[in-house]
Amino acid sequence: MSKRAPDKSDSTSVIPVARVSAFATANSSAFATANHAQEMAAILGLSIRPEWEDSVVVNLKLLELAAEQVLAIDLPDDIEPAVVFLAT
Amino acid sequence: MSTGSPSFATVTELAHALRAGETSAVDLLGQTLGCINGLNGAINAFTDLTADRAKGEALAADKRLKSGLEHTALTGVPYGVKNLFDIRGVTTRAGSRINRDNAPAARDAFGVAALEGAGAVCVGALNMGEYAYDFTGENAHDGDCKNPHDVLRMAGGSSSGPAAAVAAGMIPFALGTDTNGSIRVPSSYCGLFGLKPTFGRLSRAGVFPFVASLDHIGPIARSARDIALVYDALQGDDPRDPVQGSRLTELVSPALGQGSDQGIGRARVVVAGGYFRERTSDFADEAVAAVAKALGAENEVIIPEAARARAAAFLITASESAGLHLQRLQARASDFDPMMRDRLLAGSMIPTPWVTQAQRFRRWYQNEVSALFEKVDLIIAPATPTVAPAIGQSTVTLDGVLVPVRQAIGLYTQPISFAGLPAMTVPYWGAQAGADGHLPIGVQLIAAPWAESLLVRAACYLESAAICKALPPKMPLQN
Repeated sequence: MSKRAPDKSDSTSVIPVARVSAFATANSSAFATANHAQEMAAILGLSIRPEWEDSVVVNLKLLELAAEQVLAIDLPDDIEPAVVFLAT
Repeated sequence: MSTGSPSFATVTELAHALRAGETSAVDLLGQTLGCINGLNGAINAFTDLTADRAKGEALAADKRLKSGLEHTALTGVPYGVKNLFDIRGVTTRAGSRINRDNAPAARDAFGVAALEGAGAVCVGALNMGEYAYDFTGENAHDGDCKNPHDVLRMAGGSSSGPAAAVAAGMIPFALGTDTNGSIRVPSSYCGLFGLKPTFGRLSRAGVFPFVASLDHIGPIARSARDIALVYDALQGDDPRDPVQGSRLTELVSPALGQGSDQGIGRARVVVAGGYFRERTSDFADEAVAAVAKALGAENEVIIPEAARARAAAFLITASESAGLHLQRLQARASDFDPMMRDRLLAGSMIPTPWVTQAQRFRRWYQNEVSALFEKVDLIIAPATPTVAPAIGQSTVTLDGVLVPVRQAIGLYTQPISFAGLPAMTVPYWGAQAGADGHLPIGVQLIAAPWAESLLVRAACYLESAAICKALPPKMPLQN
């Protein structure tokens, strides 16, 4: 049993600080941007103050990276969501 | 033991002293409240004391003990609960500023009521990360909870107060909650035993939710046997929790002590490889190796897609919690801890197909992980990559890469709770136990759904073999 080097394909388990700090200004996607956050906030009845924007965008980018990883796996059509509901 | 000094007696030892008349529940309560009064300024574990209720419960316990009425090992034993458990007459703050404007709880959470039924004495509510969305124990509203082994270090979250209070010797056990690791992480940092049962095993009714599809309750204590005693008291069917599994009560404490190996000799024990061997500190590796050697684990098993499981848990956590808090975000966004607020704001904007895929992946992952347990009984994995970071520390270096500390803490706990598996943190100190500045780290024992008995027996064996143990803080704590 030995220690392993991190799997390079596992890109989101922990993201280097240097990469995270660039998220707020990278504009690398349509999802993780201040404009998108403000548009969604208006739809949801939320207010995002200007000083909160960078942090919200960083969090959007982290979610987007997680989603990329989750969406990358092909699942059989008959796999049902694990949300629990029991008729009683 | 002088009045107000910390006590490191176990529940079993306290129960013996109470039954033998060496102390009374009322005296024990006085000792406990004195200790909390003396230490809480240094640790910041308790946010609410319930002295009047506790006095009534202690008097009732003494009456039962003295008159020979039915009692349990918990009768007269003091405890506390993370402040998202409802305690009747107390406002359930859930670590937040916003919820403290709510009316006091009208009734106890199921867990609190169950412990009252067992005769235990509720002394108060304990600090936590805001709305349980936290691994650090830092709290912008109630102040940071301190690690009793080094008050400059994190207690771990989000069940920070429960772990800190037990590690400091204020109380022998506490109740916490665990969504992605919030019992197992603070147990690791504070050197304690902590059990996250199977998802759906224990009722969460009366506990302020975080992520309904991932939330659990469970005990934190200084001995494995105490975990068993509390876990047994918390079992029971409760229609108020819609996801509680339809399971009969399966007591685990009666099986303890049967044979020198706690009956685990035939268990197939392996170490989690792959993802769970990456990014670990040397001390985490040492802890896993020591536990593996003691339990005779020579082989590794790969838990498939653990990294993707963590990513899916991250999405579901962000989405469900944002949905839960949407109205509070609309009305009182500036009253949240800023880091919590910005995570929730982002979580409210997640496209639905991402969450649906995450929940579908969870089903697939559960099937894959369940298949592992056809060949193994117990899996060993680190609980945290490192010992407790410093309070306020924002980054940590793992495998030579600087990463955000909040992302790193739950690396090894999140993929386990995502599958709903029961898992228990056991504390490891190693050969440097007692040395200046040395801190504990936890190891996870992981079993198949509903196999809590195996976890507790394995933990009890490790404790009796002196591999895993809870130790008092080295330095005296003072306000």
